[in-house]
Amino acid sequence: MSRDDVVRLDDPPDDEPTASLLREVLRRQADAVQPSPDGLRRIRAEIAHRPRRVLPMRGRGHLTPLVAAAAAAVVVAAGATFAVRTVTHRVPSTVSVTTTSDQLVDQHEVAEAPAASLPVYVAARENGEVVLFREFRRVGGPTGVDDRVAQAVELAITGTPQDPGRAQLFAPGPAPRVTARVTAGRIDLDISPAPLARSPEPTWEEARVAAQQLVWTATATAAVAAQSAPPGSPAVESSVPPGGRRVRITLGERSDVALFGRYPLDRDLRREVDPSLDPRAKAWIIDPAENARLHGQLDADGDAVAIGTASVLVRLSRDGVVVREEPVPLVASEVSGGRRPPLAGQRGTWRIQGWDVSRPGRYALVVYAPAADAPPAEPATATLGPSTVSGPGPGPAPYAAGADPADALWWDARSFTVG
Amino acid sequence: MDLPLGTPWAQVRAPSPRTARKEAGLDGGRGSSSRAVPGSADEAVGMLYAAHWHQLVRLATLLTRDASVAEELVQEAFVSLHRRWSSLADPAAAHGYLRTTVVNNARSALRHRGVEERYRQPGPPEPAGPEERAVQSTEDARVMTALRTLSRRQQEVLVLRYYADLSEQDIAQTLGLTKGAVKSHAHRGLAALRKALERAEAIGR
Repeated sequence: MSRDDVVRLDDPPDDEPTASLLREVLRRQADAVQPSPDGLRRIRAEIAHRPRRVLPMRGRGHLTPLVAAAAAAVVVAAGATFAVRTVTHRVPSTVSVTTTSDQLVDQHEVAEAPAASLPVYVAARENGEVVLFREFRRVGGPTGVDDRVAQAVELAITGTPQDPGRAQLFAPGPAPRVTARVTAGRIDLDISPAPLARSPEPTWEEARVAAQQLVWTATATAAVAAQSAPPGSPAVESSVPPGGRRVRITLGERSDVALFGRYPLDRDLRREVDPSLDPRAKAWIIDPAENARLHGQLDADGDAVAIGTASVLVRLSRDGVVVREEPVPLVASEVSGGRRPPLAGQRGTWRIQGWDVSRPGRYALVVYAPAADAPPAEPATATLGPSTVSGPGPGPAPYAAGADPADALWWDARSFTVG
Repeated sequence: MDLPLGTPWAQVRAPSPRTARKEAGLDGGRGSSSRAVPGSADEAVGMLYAAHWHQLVRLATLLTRDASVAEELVQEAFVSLHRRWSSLADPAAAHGYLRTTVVNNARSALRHRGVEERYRQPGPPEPAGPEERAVQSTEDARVMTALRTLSRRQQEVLVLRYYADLSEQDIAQTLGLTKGAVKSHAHRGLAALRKALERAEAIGR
């Protein structure tokens, strides 16, 4: 018996009074809407303004079957909501603190920031959404925590993303004056004059993500800079994990304003980590850095959102030819404080070690989740992922290597040179 | 279960003959252009825009209660379609893809609404005018308010059925549901709407 046969409710007749009334009202309401006549112009402008991110290689032609369940599970990732739970995070070289899942510390921000580099979040378009990626920028000059945060925020507003596929949400122009004051639980930022949007008609969502870009950049940089701050500094003496600081943004010292004229700043902001609001890209590579020079072996790591299976695909190519690709398990759920693999919708970390890069050439590393519309796997030919994802995770990864990252649900890429 | 925003082509089958006929009549007959198969993504966007822009914006407005947001959602759907045009197996399913994307985008936008709600400006004022308009407006507001009390899924089903005039099969395809589930949502949604209207009337007496 099909599911269609289970429900045997009578079809409501269209002339049923409530149905007739609803039909009339909906028609009147719809007729009152006059869509703007320049929709096509805006669509075409958006298409032109939003070029597809360029992958370092495009390995079409050898699509390998994937399991359809992975596609369906994307929905779980997108729609999942989490109960706020109490977890413990170890903040490197400081203290172990207790916080809630909406104050999570991204441990990599502190632990893996290159020397004299600051984490700066940049924007990109991914599947029609604006998302944030993290990049590290080398800086000089003053080394105080406040100065570092101001530097990083200024870079977020005015800098050109390292990856050409990423975009700047803020309009080009003279750098605004950014001041920052980092205290135990809060960061006060003032940006003068108010930065403008790059888009002539910024959406509310773009404004929201731009605000989150500043929040994530400021909190991450404060976390990194506080590592070298002198004892007794208000930026160090904090019981709040770095990522948990609230951020108050004023524009021209005014708080009764909205970023891009859309997103109100009349309250403290914090990192959005609810799955439906988290602005971060679903997958990214932390190490190696773009255009790094490596020898012999490749160690790489990053994080990603589990889409029902706690794994991602990692592909390494040399001069455009794929030399290795395999599913890599996600471990160390952000929500669990690293104690177990991520469940669907949770972020986890991935790591590869000792991949051979002894031959000279230009290499590309891509981490991705296959597209939902990839064909389902045929069990006989699918290459199953790690079979030993321990703990209460969702089980073995069904990914087969060989999907086209260009059709991926989400991905990140790095290019580097050997020799 | 929600569909992902960019609903895969594999999940968007060609519209049923009933829908195809209706599409040809949408927007004052301009929908007939959708029957031709465009060659390029740019061409497809132009043709589909001419045929469906108005109706999709109105559909999105009914789902989101915000005309400006609705336009953005529909715009996003067209951009998404353009991006995926080369992987489209069946160009005739393009309208179905747009509709599904709009509904999913609307649902996603409403998830954000909880955050945005307290900053939302009041909606446009009720239209002033003759008494008939005023009475109609009151009735419309009453029905629309009652409609908002239903579950998100029930609202979607009712709007797709009684505004977009889709068959149960096409609603099922658009929402990723079974026909039985659509039937159930429609039946229960209409019953809940009736009760909500009765309650509103009782309070208003």
